[in-house]
Amino acid sequence: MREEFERLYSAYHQQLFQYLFYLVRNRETAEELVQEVYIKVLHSYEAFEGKSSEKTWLYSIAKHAAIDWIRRQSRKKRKFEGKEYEWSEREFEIEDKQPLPDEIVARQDEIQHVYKTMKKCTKDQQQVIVLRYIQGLSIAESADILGWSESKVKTTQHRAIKALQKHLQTDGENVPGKEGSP
Amino acid sequence: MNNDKWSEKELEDTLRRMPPVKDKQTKDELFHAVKQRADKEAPQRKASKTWFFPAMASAAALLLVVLMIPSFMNTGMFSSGDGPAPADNGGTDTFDTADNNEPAEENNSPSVQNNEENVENTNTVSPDTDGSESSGPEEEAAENENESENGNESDSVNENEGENENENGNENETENADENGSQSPGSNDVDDSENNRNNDSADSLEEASEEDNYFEANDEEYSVEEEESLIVTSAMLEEDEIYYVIPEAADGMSKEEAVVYALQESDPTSGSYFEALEEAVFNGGSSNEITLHFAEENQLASLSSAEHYFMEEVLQETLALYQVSEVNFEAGEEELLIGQLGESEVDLSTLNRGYYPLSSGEGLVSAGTAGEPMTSGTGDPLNFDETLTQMEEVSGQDWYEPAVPDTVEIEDVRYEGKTAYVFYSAEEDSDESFETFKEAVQLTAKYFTLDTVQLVNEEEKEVTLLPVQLP
Repeated sequence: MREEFERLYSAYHQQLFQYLFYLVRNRETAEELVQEVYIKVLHSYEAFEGKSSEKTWLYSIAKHAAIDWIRRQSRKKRKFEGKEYEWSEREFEIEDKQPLPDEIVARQDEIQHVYKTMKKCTKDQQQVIVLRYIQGLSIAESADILGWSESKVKTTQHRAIKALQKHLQTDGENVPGKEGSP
Repeated sequence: MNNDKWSEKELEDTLRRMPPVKDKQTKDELFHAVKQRADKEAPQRKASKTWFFPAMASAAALLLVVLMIPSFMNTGMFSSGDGPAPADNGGTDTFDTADNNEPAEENNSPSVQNNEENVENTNTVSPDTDGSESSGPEEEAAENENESENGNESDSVNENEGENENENGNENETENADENGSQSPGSNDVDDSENNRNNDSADSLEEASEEDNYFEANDEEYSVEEEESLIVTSAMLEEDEIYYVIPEAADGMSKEEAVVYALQESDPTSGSYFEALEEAVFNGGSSNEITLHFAEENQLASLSSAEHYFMEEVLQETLALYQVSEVNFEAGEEELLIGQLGESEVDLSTLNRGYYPLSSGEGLVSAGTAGEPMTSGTGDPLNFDETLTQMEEVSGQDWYEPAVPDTVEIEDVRYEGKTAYVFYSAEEDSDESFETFKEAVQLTAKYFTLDTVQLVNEEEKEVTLLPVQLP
C-alpha cells in the first residue's frame, strides 16, 4: 500500500489537490477529499482495468468525490431550511463565509475577480474551466474524466468562456481596474 | 472597468495564470491520515453487519410463532368458544393467514379501499387490469382521467400508506420487519397471493421515500449514485439542418430559468435576438402555455423565414420536454409579432418518445426529429418501457445510434407512483456510452408523468437515481 501511495503521490498529488480545491473552493475540504480519493484508489487499484489512463482514472474518482461532497452539502442545507438549493447553495456559502485562499489573495485584482466570478458559471462549465485552463488538460483527457464526448467538452468550454465574459462584464463596474495589471 | 476589456483571449490567459494551490499536508501526514481513515472505515462495515443476521433470524422465528399460534386455535387446541378464530373461517383452514389472503385474492381488500380514499389521485400509472404488472405512465392528460375506477385493479404498492398494519394484523408487521432488508423495490408484479407481502414492501418504500429513496435507506446493499436533473440546449447539424439537443446539468435551475438559458444558448437568429429575452412564465392550466417576455427593443419582428423556421425547431426541442404546447411572445405589456408572418404564438407538439445519440457524439436527437416510431401498432403513444425497448434499435440510419448500448440489457421496467425502476444488467457501466444512455433515459422520461427514474443493476447492487423534473 505504501509503495503504491508514494508512486501516485509523486506523480499526481499536487495536480489532484489543485483540481479538488478549485471545485470545492475550500482548502480543508480539499484536504479531506484528497484523502478520500486515495482510500478509494488504493482499495480499487486492483480492479483498475487500464481502459483509461491512470491519470484520468484518478481524476474521475476525484470528480465523483467532489460532486458527492457538494450534493451532501446541498442535502444538509435542504433539510435544514426545507428549501431546494443545488449548486447555488454552495455559491453563497462560499461568497459569505469563505475567505479567498492565500494563493489567490497574493495575485492581481483581475485574477481574484475572475476566481470569484467563476462560481457564477454552471457546474459543468466550472469543471471544464478547471480542467482545460487551470489544469491544462487536453480535450481528450477532459472528455475522459468527465465521461463526455470531445464535442461536448468543446461546446461547454466555449459556452463557459462566453458565460464568464458575460458575468465579468455585468460585474465590471464594481471591480478594481484591470488597467493596472501588466 | 470597460466592458470591452475582457476579450476571450485575455480571459483564457487569465485563467491559465490562476495560481497553483498546494496541499500543505506532508506526504507522511497524508499517508497516516489515509491509513487511519481506511482502518477506521473497514471495521465499521463489519460491525454494521453483525446485528443483521441475528435480527433476521429472530424476526423469522417470531414470524413462525405468530403464524403457528392461530393454526392451533383453529384446529381445536384452544377450542373454547371464546377463542379468537374468525366465524367465517369455517374451521377448515390450516393457517389463519388465509384470512388475510382472502380479501387480497378478491383484490378488494378493505385496506386498499381505505387507502385509496386517502390517497386518491396519487396513482399516476395505468396498471394492467390483471394486477400482475403495471404498465407505463401515461401523459399528463391521461393522468387526470385516471383518478377513479382503477381502484380494485390498481397497483397496491401505490395505495398503501401505513394503514395495512391495522387491517392485516401482526403477521404483516412481523413480515415487514423480516423483509425490509431484502425486498426489492418495484416488485409489485408478483402474483395476487402475495399481495400482503407487497403491502409490506410498499410500507417500507413509503418510509424509505422520506430518506430520498429505498436504496439509500438500505445502503448496505445498494450503492446509490444520484445524477442531476438535465436541461437541454439545441444546435443544428449544418448539412441536414436538423436540430439536436445537448444535455447539461440543471445546476438547480428552475424550469423558467432553464427555458431562458436554453433559448439564449441555442439562439438560432443571425443577430442573437434572443438576448432580448428577459423572462419565461409558465401560464399553467391544461394547455401548458408559456409566455416569453422580451425587452421592448428587440429585433424579432425582422426574422427571416429561415430564421423563423429554425426558431420553431429550437422551441420544439428545448420546450416540449416541459410539456409546453403553446409559446406566446410578449414585449412590454403587448403581444410581440415575430417574423414575416407576424405571429405572436407558436404551437408545439408534446409527443416525443425517446432520444438517440448522434454518431458524431455531439448530442442526442429526439425520436420526433429522427422519425423513429413513437406509437404502438394500435396508434397509441408508446409507454415508457415500450419507448426504452424502441431505443434499443434504430431503423437503418447511420447518423444516429441506439440509445441503449450493446453492453447494457434492459431486463424489466416497473413503476411505483411517479418513479420508474429500470432493471438492467451491464457488461461494463463506466464507459461513455453508458453516460449517454443515462442522459437519453432521463430526457425520455421528461415526456411522461415521472418524477424519478432509478436504474437498478441488481447484479452489481448499484442504483443510479435520475431526477426527471425541474422544480
